[in-house]
Amino acid sequence: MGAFEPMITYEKGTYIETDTGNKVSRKATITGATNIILGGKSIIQTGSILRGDLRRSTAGQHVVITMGRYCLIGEGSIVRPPGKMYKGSFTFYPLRISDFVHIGPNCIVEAASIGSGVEIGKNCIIGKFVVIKDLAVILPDTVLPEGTVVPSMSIWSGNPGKLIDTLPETYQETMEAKCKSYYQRFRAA
Amino acid sequence: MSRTAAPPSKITAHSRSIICQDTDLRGDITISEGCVVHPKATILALGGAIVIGKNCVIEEGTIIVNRNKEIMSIGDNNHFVVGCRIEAISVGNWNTFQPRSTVSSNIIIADHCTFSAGTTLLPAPTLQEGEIETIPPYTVIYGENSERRKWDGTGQLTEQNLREKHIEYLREIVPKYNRIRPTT
Repeated sequence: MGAFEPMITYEKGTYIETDTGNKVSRKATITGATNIILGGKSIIQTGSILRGDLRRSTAGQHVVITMGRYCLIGEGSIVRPPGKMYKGSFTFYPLRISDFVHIGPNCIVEAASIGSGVEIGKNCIIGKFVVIKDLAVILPDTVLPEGTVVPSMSIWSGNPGKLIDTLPETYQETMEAKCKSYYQRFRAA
Repeated sequence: MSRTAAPPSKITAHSRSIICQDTDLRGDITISEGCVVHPKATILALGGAIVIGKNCVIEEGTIIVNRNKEIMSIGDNNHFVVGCRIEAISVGNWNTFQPRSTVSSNIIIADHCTFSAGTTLLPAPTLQEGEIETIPPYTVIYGENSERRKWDGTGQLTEQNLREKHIEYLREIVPKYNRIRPTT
């Protein structure tokens, strides 16, 4: 977490930096951008797909994907809102991601909500309507089936995902520092 | 890797199908009535043609490949969820390919099969070289080791209803936010 960790660089001009400090790759596919809110200082890496077009069926303005601060969507990850039948018609539901959430490369995320300080390893599949509470770790290659609820301070792994361990109480600070440091180190070459 | 020059693309799509612009379609592909192809889907007819039946949903990251000489036929009402990869010889009706499921070649898929998230389906190891395995109807491939079991068909109607409503809604919502390939 110190100043000695290597920088993570990208080629200049391949990322767009917004006023609030979000870094969004030009090669990320973002559909329905009007329905996506980024909290600031979040990174969306190359090849990822954000589906903001899959919105609720009722009329009016709907936010589809909300993301907090210091989030990371890794390379090639797909983030899309979950959908189901409700009162006889099909509709999509919003996907809420809090602060300090790291989603590794090549994940597929269809969760309903992800709490703050959650780390999802590479190649994970997070099923429809999964709820991940604050401070959880999903190890690489985990498959969480539809509707799984992941409690705070837990570590999950496997296909289907199972709780395998718990986290230490100091984890919140660790994760926040890690996310901030990642953001600071992620810059143009 | 050297490969013989790809055949010229010939895409035939029904006027009621919805195919996003941001897709990779190569070779001789026929897409029937009511299909929805999301952006970033890939359909490659490298060998023979690919014929896709009515009301299929092909989501982003899906890869459907036909390397054989014969036509790869895909039935009606199939749902290809995010990131699945299909190289089967043929696919029946009402199948679900869940996120990142893989079906290798030399396999024929019947109807109502489910391929769970993250599974890989290979032909049985006892098969001789060049033999083809048929996956019977209502098979479910699940879990870490991609085991097989039978679905007894409970909740089938609910599932089919959901599928219909889902595609109906997609047909309404997808063209609003995505550029659509002009269909002929």
